[in-house]
Amino acid sequence: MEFVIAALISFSTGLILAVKYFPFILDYVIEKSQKRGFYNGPWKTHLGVGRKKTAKIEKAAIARVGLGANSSDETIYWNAFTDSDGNDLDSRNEYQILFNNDLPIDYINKGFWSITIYGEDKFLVVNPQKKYMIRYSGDNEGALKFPLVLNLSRSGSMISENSIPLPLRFEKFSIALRCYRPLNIMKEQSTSLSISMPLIKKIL
Amino acid sequence: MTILPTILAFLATGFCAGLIVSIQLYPTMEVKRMFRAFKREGYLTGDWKHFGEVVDHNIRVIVKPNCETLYSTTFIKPSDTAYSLLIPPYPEYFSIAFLDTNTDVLGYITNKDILPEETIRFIINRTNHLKPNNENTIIVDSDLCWVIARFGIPGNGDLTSVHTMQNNLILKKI
Repeated sequence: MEFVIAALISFSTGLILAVKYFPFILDYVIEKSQKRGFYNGPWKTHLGVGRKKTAKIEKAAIARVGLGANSSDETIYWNAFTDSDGNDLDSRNEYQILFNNDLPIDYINKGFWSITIYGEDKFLVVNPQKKYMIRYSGDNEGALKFPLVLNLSRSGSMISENSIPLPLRFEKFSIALRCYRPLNIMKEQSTSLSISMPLIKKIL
Repeated sequence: MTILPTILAFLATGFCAGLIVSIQLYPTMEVKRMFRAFKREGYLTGDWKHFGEVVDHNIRVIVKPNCETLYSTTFIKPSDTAYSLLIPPYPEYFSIAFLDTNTDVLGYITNKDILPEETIRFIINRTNHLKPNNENTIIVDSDLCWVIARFGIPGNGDLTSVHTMQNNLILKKI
């Protein structure tokens, strides 16, 4: 009898521990699998967001990092953690994001894209200008022309229309490229690889 | 001494079982956590919660917030009743996503679905049997549905039109 009770208690304890610490286990799995997944250059995405057929573990990971995210029919979320040479993005350096061409967005139906910088803690970075992102909607009255260069720097002197401040303290950071209302070529994994995505170049 | 390996084996088995359960249920648990928080703030199902300001670095509620849209959100229970949703014209991007408790997107209403100068009515229903003729219908086959509306902020940053849009989204039980 004592054996059965001990077995039940140990089984329940294991179960409760797993459920309680699952979010942290998930964080670890997400961190370790950061280099895996679907990549185009330094840009990583998951085209199975919000879809029934997506694997359960991937759904759990998406719920952890992007609960309520749109499916790729409506928005595709690209994230970069490294530059185009494969080195971690670090605010000690300065970078340029080089768009040789525009992205396949349905501008006619008000689609747009945006670039946002996040600190190591995944929140917006502190900066006096409160400038966190650049967006382009196809009707920016010629403000953005291709090829397009966006500057990423900690230095306030570089803050211009085409620049975004990096975290003031030295830390790793990430870049989110959100494509609202992408065209079909970006929605399919096979064709999405052929898109010319922007390069991320370390300049200093 | 002899019982210790057995206990450890049961502990490990329980842990594995817990992992499997968590993988299956984590998205649902998160959506229900959001629903509980929504209710704790005093909102009822079908009430819109509007986010009226663009996020900045002081907002640390959710990771990777975006600064290019404003949100409105609500929860509905299509198993209890059908709903009608009136959507006024809006000159910018918007999408209204209908998610089930497993975070699967069941349908969208977007600016592509509305006319430039006309308020459009949609029926949100669990099945198709109530669909009146010529009525736009979103089928939401879920007991609980999380509705997330995203409104693109105009290029000049003026939030007036977004607020007008948010305030004129009328969701009613039928």
